[in-house]
Amino acid sequence: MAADLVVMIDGEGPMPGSLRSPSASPSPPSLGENFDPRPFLEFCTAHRGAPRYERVILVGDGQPLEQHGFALAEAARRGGFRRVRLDTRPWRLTNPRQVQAVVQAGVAEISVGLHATDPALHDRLRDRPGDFRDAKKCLANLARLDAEALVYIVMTSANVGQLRPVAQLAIEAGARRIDFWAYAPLDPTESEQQLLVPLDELAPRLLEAIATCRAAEVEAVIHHVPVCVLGEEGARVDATEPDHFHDHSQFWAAADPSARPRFNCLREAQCDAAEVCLGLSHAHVNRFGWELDRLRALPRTRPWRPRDRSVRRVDARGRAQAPHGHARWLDLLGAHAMGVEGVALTRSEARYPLQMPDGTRFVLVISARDDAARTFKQSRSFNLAYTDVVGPATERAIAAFVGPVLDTIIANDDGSLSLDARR
Amino acid sequence: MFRAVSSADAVPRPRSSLVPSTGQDRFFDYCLETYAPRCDPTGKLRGESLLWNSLEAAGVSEAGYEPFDAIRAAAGRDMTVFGVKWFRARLSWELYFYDPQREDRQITASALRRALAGVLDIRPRVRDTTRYFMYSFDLDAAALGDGQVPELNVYLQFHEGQGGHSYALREDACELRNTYRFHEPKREIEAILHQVQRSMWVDFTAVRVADIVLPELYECAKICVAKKRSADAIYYSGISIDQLRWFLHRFEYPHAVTSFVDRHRADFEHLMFDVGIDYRSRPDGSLEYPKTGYYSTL
Repeated sequence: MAADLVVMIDGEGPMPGSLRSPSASPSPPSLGENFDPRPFLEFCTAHRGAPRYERVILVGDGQPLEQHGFALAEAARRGGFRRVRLDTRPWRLTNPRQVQAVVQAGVAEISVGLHATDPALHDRLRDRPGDFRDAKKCLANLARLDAEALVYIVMTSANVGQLRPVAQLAIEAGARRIDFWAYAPLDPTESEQQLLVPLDELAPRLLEAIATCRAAEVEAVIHHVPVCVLGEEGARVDATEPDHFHDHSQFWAAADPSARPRFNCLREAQCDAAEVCLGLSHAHVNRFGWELDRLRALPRTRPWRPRDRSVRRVDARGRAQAPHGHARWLDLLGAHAMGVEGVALTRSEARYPLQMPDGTRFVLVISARDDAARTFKQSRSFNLAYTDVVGPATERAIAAFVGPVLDTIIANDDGSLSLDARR
Repeated sequence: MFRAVSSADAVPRPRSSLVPSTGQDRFFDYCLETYAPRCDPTGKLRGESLLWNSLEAAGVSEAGYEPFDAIRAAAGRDMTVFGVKWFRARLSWELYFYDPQREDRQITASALRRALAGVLDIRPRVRDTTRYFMYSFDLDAAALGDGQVPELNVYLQFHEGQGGHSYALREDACELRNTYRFHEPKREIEAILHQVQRSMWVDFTAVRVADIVLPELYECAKICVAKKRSADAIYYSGISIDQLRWFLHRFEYPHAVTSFVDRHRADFEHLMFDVGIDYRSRPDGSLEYPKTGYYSTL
């Protein structure tokens, strides 16, 4: 589970690593006017008794933030979150009194995007005149209060030459932490593609900016850049994702779950950083290729495991639900289903791997009932047997172990399942 | 958002493309290898819904559905892999029959030929003693009209590794068509790149590997690289519904197909799909994708 929990209040707030808010996308999710704060307020009450997250990140910039922001921040502070962060656009935080009220409500961290040293370029990247001026004012206000300014810089072809001076500017403005995000647009337009930066251009300039942060003892975090091109600074790469507070009547009901940037690296299975590195964004690969000459696998020190590609579901309490594939075939085993390592259905068999307490492993096999075939037992529809025994157990011990499992299958087989493909 | 498939949707095919999943469904990839569904299939759609949708999108008449019904009756539920092909702006279909262990006497090529007599006339004959592990045949609008299947594709397996050769068998001819080899994408990427980059059809001074090993499809269960008579091909197996949606849009399938899959995204999220892409260089060096296809089971 992630340490951070994101609450999307509306579609106007800045998304991590993005230049624009979700509402600025060609097909924005319909967020906003009817935001209902009650599910999160109820969640805070429960969270207070059993805290699971360290930080809550409130994201928004529209009317719902104005209406509910203070209540949500206060509820979060009381609700067991050690840190409350606000991700909004800087124009809201140019008034010192407003910033003070936000901090008093419990917001301890505010993230501010700073993407260039010159206002024209920053405003062009943000597509909002005056944003640079507002960001500087916001940072100045935060510097006067007990709130942490978290600056993020989205690295593009337009500002890659300014990374060190931008970091210096952020440090001088009081940034406690700087996040460097490689630009990773989803489904980019041609002009957005032009903002992508090849690794050989990005990496040296990023490392210069990191050195500036290091000298100033400001924490620097890197996102969406492969670990292997960063040398020792690869340890700064953060590929973790916060959890999202799911209120299906709100944001997630409208947003396309597939609508987020994806990443891959062809060397994933060979690289020791596979678990902490996303590789390259698909937009990057489509512009510059897989960069095979630049990426190198760090020798693995532990086995690589493929990702779980099952669909993640959470119940109303936020608990992960296991996939329920082949549920009826597992139900056939009753309580013994807890002891099998899943079920594989083939053309003619259902196969359940089992392990005995002494470590002996075997596969329980059920096949279509055939009175002429040799089998261990039979149920209404199936022949029941076991095979592929590996381990010290005697046949008698295996029979004693598997007997209750087979009896359960016999009791549960009501004829509704079939391994005859023509039925 | 997650639209339940109501019993009202369960109108008998072919009138509806929407066939609800059942507790008895088995889940196979296009090699008829089993996989666990990605989530609870309850209330969702069977993969065959994609086939019915493609027939509808191609304007196939009611009678054109009959061969598919007959095939399923002969081969068994979930036991036939179907491919929907998109070639020269036309949809066509290929049906694949696997039985590498020869467990099912009713699924040999000669048995299927007999079972489909009167519905489809499979002209070529293949000896049951030929040690094929799979065979297939194509159906297009013409074949669905006249019931003639003039050609059978017969697949022979390599000794080691997953892959093999395919032969096109006609009444009076037999010729080698394709060779292909399957790989686990992440563990065997070097083998995949090796095979992709050795090509008689692609000029890699002008084409990037990323236009063949596509990032959007790389997250999959298996990649197959094939060498064909007039192109190379790459197949991605075990992709998600979102990857399938990307594929259908990327390769410009008919709106009736893309909109159907988009609309039923949640209804298909428990399934894995497979897609194939033929590719070759044009005379000007740029890459073209003359034929693509997507697969599920009937």
